[in-house]
Amino acid sequence: MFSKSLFKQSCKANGLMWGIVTLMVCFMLSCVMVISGGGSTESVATGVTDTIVDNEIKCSLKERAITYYNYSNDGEAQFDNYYVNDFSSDVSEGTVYYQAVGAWVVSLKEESLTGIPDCYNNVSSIPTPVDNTSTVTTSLYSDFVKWCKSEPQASSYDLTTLEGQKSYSSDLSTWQNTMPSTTLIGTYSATSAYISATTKLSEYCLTLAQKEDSTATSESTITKEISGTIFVSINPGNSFDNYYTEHNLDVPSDYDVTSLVTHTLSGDITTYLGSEERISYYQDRATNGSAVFLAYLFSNKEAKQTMIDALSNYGITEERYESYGYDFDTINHLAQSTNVGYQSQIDYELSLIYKDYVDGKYASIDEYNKAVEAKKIEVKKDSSSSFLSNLPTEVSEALEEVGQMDVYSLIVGSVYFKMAGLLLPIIYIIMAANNLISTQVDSGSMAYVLSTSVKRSTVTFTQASYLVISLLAMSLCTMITSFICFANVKITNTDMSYATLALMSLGQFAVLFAIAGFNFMTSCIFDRQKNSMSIGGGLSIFFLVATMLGLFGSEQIPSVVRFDSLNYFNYVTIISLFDITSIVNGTTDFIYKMVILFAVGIICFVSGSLVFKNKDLPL
Amino acid sequence: MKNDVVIKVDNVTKDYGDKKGVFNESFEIKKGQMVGFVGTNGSGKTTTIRSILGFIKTTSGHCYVNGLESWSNSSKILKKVGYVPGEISFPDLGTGIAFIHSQAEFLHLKNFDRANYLIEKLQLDPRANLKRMSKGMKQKTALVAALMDDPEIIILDEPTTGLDPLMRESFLEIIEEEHKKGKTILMSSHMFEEIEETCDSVLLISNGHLIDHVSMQDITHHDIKEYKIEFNKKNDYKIFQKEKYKITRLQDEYNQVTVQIPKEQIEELFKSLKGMDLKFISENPYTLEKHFIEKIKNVNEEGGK
Repeated sequence: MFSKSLFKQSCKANGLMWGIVTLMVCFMLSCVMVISGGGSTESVATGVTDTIVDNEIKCSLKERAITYYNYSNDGEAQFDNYYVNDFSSDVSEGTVYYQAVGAWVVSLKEESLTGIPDCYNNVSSIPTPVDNTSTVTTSLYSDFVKWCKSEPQASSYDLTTLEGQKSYSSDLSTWQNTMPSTTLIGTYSATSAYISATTKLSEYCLTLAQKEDSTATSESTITKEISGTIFVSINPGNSFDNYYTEHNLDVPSDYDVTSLVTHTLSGDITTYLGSEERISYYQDRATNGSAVFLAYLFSNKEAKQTMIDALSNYGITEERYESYGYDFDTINHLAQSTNVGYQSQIDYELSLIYKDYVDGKYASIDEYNKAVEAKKIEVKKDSSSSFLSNLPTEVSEALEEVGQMDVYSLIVGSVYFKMAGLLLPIIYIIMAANNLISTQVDSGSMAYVLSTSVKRSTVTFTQASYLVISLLAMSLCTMITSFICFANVKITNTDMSYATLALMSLGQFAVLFAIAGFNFMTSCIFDRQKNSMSIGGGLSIFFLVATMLGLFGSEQIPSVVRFDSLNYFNYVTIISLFDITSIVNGTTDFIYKMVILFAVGIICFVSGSLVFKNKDLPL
Repeated sequence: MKNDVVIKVDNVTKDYGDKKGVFNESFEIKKGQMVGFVGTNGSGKTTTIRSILGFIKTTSGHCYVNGLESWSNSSKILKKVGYVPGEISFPDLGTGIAFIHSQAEFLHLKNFDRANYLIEKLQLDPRANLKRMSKGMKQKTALVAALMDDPEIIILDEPTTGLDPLMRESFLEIIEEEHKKGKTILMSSHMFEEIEETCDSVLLISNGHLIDHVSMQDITHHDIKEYKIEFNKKNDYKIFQKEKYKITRLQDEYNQVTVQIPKEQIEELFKSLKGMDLKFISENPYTLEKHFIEKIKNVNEEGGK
């Protein structure tokens, strides 16, 4: 079964190569372990953390900018609705009251002999407003009362003189002309509608907040954020000027209600509210307002402190945080450009739908509207919850991965044992497996072995033993090297231990065993060394390259710098069965995978031997 | 006696397809015989040898060595056989000495006297690097490796190809020495003369078909003789043609005629030539080569019919 002489011969033929490969592998391993243990991994982690934090903050800001922008747009439209409604009802109420008072004046006029209403004395009988909560009517009432009271009284004039009479009658007619005019209805309504619409808008903000979070009250952060972005955008009564002025921005012009009044009075308000002019006015204001609010919110000291507190666990100091450069101007700029981009995307998507609609792809206008709504929701990345309470958690979740990322075991395990450290042994396997069988058959030197009455099964068994034993010895050497290096490296932030190193060496041996089996099999099958080498070796190298590419898509790489599409390579290489993650994390998954590797190797060795035993040898 | 048969090839076919291989081959080699195996390149000599050694599995039929079926008993058979392959390539071992020592280890051979004798006889420098050896040196090394165990059966696949004439001489000398010791030898070659000189009998193979197994005795003492006669006078030349001899060739310009006649008719021939003016008469010796060509001709003619 075993030929000592053949084993010796194989040792002589492949020993030098084995020695060189083993030496190189051990040298490489010690370089990797010592250098990566020297602290440079820390800076890698720092770099990755910075990237993640920066990226996460930016993403959240962008998402949030869009959310605020949508709230602002929505709020402005809502404000207009409230305003227009209130204004019209105020105007009609005001008109009714005005007419009532007008009728009262006329009736006084009729009673009077002179044709001049005696408002002064009858002021108590002036019609009182039905609804004394309406500022329009109450204002009109007080105006009228004041007017009545200012009626010139005959008693204050010397009616005996012509001059006195003249002056009395001219004052009377002046007084009559100063009767509160109908334009006051508009003016009062405008003011009153502004105030009432503002009040209603606050309530609306609360309902919006409650839509997201049913427990929200007017004091909740989310409510404050929603009303904040809307009110900063509208800036009613310049009460939110500080958001702009604190950072040296120009306060935007007053919110345009004049157009609303004009169009309400001219009767085409519905058309106007749906017009592009008004909609783009909303968008302009929302773009600016929501961005300013977001920047204001995020750049204030408290918000910063919240972030830093939350991230301090991951080594983010105030200084490092500052280095990301999220100040007011940056955020404002970022948010504005995000909003503009978002809006143009929506416009584009909707124009496509509209085109479809014109082409008759939607059966009814309802379906079209549905499609529009669906698309809006699709484009809008809804993030429903408070920003400030969420952002630190979002960032820290992303960081958790990195915080747990064990760079040392990543480099030693996934990069060295599973990849770089496999290259030379695989080359050794390809060369040796072919030297052991197919090269000897191809050249004919196998004839000397077989003609000394060594059985073919003895040949395969001996050669396979040589291959396996040489690999085992190689793995032992790397294991011992890794122990020595690990003992001399002072690194704290790692899950690595002697046990994991031993398991990694064992896993590497399992991989090499499977690949050796495969190469041994092709070596047994093919008479031509070049065929055996190109198929066995080609596939082995493919496995290795796939592993290299796959690593960049694997879960060991932080998601920020991961190429997910490369993960497919992990499914086409048997080296994936060497489960470094499981070994490092101490789970048992690696055991069955290792068993599969050994099984693959054994199957290959056995089937190769059987083929060799039963084939024609050109010797 | 059955025990005498050392190598038996029994109706062996190894079909590689495309008319390549050997077909329905049968022959026996008795103990102590030295058999030459002759055929053109690619005619199936090596295939037959590989079948005998059990390196390849026959499509049908069996080979036997010492009564053991070759394929299933390859390793037992090879114990008795010294084999020098046609294409010589050594394991990756450095020098010739290292190789010979390694082979000795395989053979569990402790005594190097015979190896040393062979090395001396062949004037081989075994310290040379295997990779840099000339073809002749390799051949000699291979022969040493094959013979140092003193095997009963020696199988050589074109052993003399690539050797210079002097070297071939000493090479063949050693083989003949073995032959004299009573070893059974099978040697393939495409050089007819060396087979002629050394072998007891010859196997002829062409295109995978064994066409003859002839003893050298039969060839050197061939029944039909061939004479070449040149006449001085055209007249004699023409008269001779009218005689009833089998004329194989006529050359009018030289008045030359080549005739084949059975041994018994020689006297008759000389009678016919009496009184004619001959420039010369010479016997064309019957060689293996001629025999081979004739046989192939016959086979082809039969095939044609």
